Amino acid sequence: MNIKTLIASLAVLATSAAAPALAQDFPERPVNLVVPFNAGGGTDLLVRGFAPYLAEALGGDVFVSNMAGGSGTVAAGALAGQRPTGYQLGYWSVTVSTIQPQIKDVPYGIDSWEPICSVAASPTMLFTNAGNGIETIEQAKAAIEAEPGKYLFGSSGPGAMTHLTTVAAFEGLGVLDKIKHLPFQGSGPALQAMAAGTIQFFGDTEILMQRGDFTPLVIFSDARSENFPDVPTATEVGIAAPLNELYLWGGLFAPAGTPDDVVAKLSEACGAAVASEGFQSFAADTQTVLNYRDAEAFDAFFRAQYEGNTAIIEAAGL
Amino acid sequence: MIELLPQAAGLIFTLEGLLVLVLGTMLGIILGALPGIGSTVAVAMILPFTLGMSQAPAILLLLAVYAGSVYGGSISAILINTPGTPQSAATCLDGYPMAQRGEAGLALGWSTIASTIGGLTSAVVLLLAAPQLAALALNFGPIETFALILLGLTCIVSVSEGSLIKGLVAGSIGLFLGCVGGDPITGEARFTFGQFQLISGFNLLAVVIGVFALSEVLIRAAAKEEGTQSLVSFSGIVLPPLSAWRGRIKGLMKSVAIGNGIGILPGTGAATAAFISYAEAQRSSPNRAKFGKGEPDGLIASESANNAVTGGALVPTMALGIPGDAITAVMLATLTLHGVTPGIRLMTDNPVLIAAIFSGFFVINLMLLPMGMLVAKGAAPLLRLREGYMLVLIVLLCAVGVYFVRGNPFDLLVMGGAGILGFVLRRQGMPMPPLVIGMVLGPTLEISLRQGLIITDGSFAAFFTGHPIALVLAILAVGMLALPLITALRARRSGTA
Amino acid sequence: MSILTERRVTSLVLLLVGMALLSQTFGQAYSGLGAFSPMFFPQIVLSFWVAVAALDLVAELRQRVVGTRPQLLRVTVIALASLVFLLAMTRIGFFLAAVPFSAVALVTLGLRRPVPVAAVSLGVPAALVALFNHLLTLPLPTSPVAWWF
Repeated sequence: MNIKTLIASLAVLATSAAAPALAQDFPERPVNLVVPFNAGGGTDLLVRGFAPYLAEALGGDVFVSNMAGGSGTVAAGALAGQRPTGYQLGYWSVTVSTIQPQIKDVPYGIDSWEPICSVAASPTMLFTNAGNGIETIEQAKAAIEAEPGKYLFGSSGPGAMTHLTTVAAFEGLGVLDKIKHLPFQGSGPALQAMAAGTIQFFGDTEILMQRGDFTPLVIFSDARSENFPDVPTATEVGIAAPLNELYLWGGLFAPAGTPDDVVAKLSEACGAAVASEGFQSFAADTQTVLNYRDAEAFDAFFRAQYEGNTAIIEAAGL
Repeated sequence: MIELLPQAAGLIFTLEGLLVLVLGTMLGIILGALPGIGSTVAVAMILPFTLGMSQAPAILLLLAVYAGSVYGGSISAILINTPGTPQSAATCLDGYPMAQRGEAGLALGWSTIASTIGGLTSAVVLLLAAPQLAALALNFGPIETFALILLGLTCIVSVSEGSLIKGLVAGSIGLFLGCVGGDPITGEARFTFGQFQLISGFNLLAVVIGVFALSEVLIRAAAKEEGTQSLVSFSGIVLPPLSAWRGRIKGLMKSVAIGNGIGILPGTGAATAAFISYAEAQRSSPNRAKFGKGEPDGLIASESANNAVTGGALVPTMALGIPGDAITAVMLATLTLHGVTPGIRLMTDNPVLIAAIFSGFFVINLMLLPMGMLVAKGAAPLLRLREGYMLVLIVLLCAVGVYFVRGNPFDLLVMGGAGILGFVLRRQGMPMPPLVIGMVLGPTLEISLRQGLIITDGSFAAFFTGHPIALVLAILAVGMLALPLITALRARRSGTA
Repeated sequence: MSILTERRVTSLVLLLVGMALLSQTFGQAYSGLGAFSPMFFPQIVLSFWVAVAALDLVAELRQRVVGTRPQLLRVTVIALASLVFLLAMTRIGFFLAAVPFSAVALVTLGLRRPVPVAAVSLGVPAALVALFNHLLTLPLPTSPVAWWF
């Protein structure tokens, strides 16, 4: 190849990359899913499991890359500044997209995104150690009121969902000022402290029940859990809105300004991928609760969550 | 656990299983030996390949890469004074001086044998007593962790070759670097000076690679000679003769015990173990006067301890479902993918799988020696490259490695800045291992101290009254600090008398 | 000979940086007191820094150590080239950033034979891109020109 043809072909490549993507041709090159956490974490594995099915539904290639730091905000901040081509999507969780931008000075906000679809959502629950005499949320409240300052609740870090769940419970019950918060660096050390009895309360999704001996006290959902029908919902025990429902959800986001037809195509492919047999069995294996919303429904849900989580952030003092 | 071994062997000794063990160990050693690519990155790189495998081979592949990379890190530490990972930072202290006097092959021989023994014993401990040890580890709360980290920090004294004061300055710089970013208790930003990127702090690996590898490149560029010679002379691993082990066995055993013990405790890790073990060897070894000048005892101490951690770290991971570090967290996540829920019932629900993992781990450690020799043989021609080529190669690989740690562009700049900082500090004779110790231990020290104070309602005295383990560790720490002073005073007194 | 040696200047700068950082920790509005204050631990660390850095400066002033003179030009070129490479890598892609860096660094380090220098500075980055982006699908940053390098 001589220099002229090389330059010519580079120029063609350059223009093809810069030209606005047309939906019928999309995708012309591999689509990149950005995971805002390190490789090997729960989110990473979910997205890596999802990528092949999305690729199949799109009829193109999909690859996953990781950019970690700042509880996911580094990746979101980087993607918010990218050209909205639809070739780079982020998988953001509830904390990355709705909580972090309200507690930290990050270069993105509610209007930085074109939500594509939600993939997973699980309600959170409040847990205590099994065998410590506390069996119900009423007993927990009574114990805390009897001995203010004695009990500790843990979290995987300030501002994490594990933190906000417990804040929602005890703020809703009016005893938040009588219990102390002990943050850890990640769930692992917090669970170890739970097993050792250093902390007495921890909030997480249902999956935690399989990781240790815990008693579930309350679920932050609009309905009781199928697997734990005896656990009351937050509303039932008198926790008022907006603290009564908390979901750990995640979905695909594109930078704001992505062409509508590309968003529609991605959203549709995402739906097909979530519904695919392969991904359904993957979700069953990893005990992921799937919850697909298309672009329009997800946009409305995302905005409602963004506003709704403000109250709980204030309660947590963040 | 023992009685399940025959069944477990059925899972390991299949074509897929053996292939995975051999290739995984080899790949791990290569990745670990490349400057800049540490264990975490190595394991993350392999992860996508495990998705299509069945349960046991998938985990065994990750384990092989993990154990291989921890050992592999010592190769670059010895040959080019560049620890691939923080855990082999202590290996540079004696490994590189040996390489400089032309004993690179022998230094690798010592480190290989020490790594193998460290890994093997930890595999045995794992097989015999994982559940009991895990229960023991639960007694380690924030206050005990604080005392242990305090003990770890006293190692700064023993790794400050040349000047203790300069070592302490480097240590405090490291401690400070660990403070930058979001506060672990309140989440508020500290020392970020309005830079959004700094909210997650300085990445440890980016700083380590910067102050060791990049600054080494700059120091060589600043040296008088033209970079046309090769770095060290090396043609392959030379195993030390059996007689040379005389007088070193006791130190080895002690280091292995330290590595196993610290590995079990969640959140401390291989770097801490290697440094504590090195400090202890420097205190008690019969050859302590030669430490820092290329003494095999120093190599043995750090390499046997950091490989013993690999087994220890699996104890809480497998027995409680609680990951001890980033790498074991990846392993647990992989188990989840294969339909196994990590948790307190992991061992009771999947006894054969766990037995296969543990015994596979034993086999992996047996393979470190032959695979290490093979890789070293293959790497030898590379080291005969002229220095200039080697230096450029190091910069490129470091950039790749740091980029893959978390794909964060800012980390690359941090590495560049740390390289220049390291160059300036090293020019005035400041040792770099204390800086790494400070940065590794600082965040854990801070969070455990503040957690402890929250638990005790702000009383520091209560740290030691109700916590005997913490008290013992704190006394050890004070002893480690006082000892050099006492010996110095005694030496002076007997000198004047 | 002046009293300012490289070692003394570095020691002084370290002391000043420590003092500046320590002064930063006071007078700012942070939530919480004692263990709850974000500045609780940094204040301990920085006070220690200032103390040992002051001791270090005293030690440097008492004894005069003159180190070797560095090859300033060479080390500056390498340091700057590395920084530019690290900055450019995520903007113009690994390959386009690595090739000029390698060439400049090799020539600066005294390797002047054109064929091996060109081969290494083109070949090594190309091999790394081929390995990571295409074989392992673990992508290094790509250029804005094309997605495949």
